[in-house]
Amino acid sequence: MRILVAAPYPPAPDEAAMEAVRAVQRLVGEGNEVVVVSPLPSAAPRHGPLAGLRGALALAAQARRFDALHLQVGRHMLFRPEVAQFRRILDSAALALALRRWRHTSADLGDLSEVPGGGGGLSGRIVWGSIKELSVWSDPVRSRLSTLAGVPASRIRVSPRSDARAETPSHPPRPPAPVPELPPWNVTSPGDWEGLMTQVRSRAVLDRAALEGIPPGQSPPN
Amino acid sequence: MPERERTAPRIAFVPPRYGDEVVGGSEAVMREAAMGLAERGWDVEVLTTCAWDHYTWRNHYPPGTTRVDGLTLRRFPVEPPAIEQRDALGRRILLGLPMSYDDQCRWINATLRVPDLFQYLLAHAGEYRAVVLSPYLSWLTVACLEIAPERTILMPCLHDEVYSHLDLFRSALSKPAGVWFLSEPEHELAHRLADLPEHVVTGAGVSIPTAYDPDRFRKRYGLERPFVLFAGRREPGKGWDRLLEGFELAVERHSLPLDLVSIGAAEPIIPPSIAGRVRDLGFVEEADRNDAFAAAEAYLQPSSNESFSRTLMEAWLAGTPVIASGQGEVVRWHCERARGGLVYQDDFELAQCLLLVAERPALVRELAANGRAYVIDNYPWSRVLDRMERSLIELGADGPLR
Repeated sequence: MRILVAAPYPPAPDEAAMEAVRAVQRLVGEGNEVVVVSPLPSAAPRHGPLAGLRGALALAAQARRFDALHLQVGRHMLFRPEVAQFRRILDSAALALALRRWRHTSADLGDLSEVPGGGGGLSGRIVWGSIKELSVWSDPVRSRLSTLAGVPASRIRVSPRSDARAETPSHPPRPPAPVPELPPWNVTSPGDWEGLMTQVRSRAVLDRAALEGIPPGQSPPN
Repeated sequence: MPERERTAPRIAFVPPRYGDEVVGGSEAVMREAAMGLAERGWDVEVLTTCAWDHYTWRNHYPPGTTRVDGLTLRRFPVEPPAIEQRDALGRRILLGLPMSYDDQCRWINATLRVPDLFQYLLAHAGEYRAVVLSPYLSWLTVACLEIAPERTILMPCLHDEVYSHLDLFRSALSKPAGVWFLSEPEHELAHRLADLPEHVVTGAGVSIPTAYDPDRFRKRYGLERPFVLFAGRREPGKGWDRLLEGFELAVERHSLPLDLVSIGAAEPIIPPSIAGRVRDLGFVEEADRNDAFAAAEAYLQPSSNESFSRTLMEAWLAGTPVIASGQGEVVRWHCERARGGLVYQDDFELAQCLLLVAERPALVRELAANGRAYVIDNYPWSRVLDRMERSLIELGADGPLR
């Protein structure tokens, strides 16, 4: 199958980006031809808007070129919580129409924490209703999505995030003056390396003091 | 199948640039380690870009697969950097302004991108027993670390600089299965930055030339006066500007009877006040480079951004004294351990080191002998490759039969 994966992609801090890598590995391993598009410049071969009307147009334009679309839903994808409610609903309707043009659609919503706006409300209901396979990472998340967006729990599959991802830490860890008469070099053997370095330093101090007009015995500032 | 017929384990080295004309410490270590392991029977592939210039990242080499240096070389095209965004965010980083993880990611994605390489590794990671990424400050490293962290070795080539303190890179240090450090100070710095996975100080190897011809070098380039040498990138980040200030002080104030010769790619900026005493030779071939070290009265290492400093080793091997900035923990560590180099903290101390070289050449040549012994004891490629192989085998990549 020829599959388009739409997702945040590395290098990115998102859990969804890491999960998308695992999904692509799995799909390629199963013999599929996979193309990745990400909402921002990344390691994906393509990038472009994946939210709002522009995202809907972009997804609609690709629908006949692939056999399936997999959405690893994360930031900068699908929803634009920052716009007015009317606009959000219009966006969602456009996205739903675009998604319905695809032969097969699936979406992994993770734990919902990276879904813009949380994925609930009427916008969520419209978009999720147009996707054939929905999955989340745990039962509690399934219940929450069902409550927030009114999607029947029976339509949501629980698919724990990949083990490989779980092993990988996702968060940053814990975080012109007279030249003074300089003393002659006294060291005769390279064995006295410390002695040699001491002489370098003391001659440099004298030289600097002379250049800066500091009287003998007084230390120059650092 | 009899064990003898077992195929050699395949490992991938992923440097941002590759080629004998590429100038850069981590690139050189990656290339020589890859070639050395291939010689030892490992099936080595190099996955890299088509770029030669690390400023523009313009595609220079053709993409595709070739056999060179006894290994398989796969080149992938670079997506050009988003220069405006890179520079705007980069300035904020250099100023030490707080930056969100998101913006750090925007910045690294604006430096360069190589999606084709990423896709290739993603599809073929399972064919490699280990993937070696370097240096830490590279889009390729940050991106490819996510592909198969359980079989990835990071050779970060860390410096204590503003970039290494970004969350983006600190988190990268904890992700791979193993880390190779080039020096003990680098190792200590990494501990301060992150929780580390399995790691080892492998060091970096240095090839020991069989002979030097300093007279040939002087004649070829018409160098009649005694000189001190700088080899590398002539840029502020490598201490070039400060070096010129200290050199000028020694020339003007103490009539230093030594010129300064520099070698490296691109053209340096030299102030007119000392232009007559500084000679830049540009990029020179390796043989000339070795002879340059031997012909110099001393080698200057002004950079505090070193994770190993190969040039220090190359100078010592040539029997040439070293004058190094003590601002850099790594070069200071080498000089102190070897008792073979002069260390300075400011322009005045640099001037005194230069005077010592001019006034007591025999004494400083003896220091260089200490340095040479230090390199031969610690950093021949055979020893470094032993440490790398041991680490690879501990990671689960069985070594080749020999």
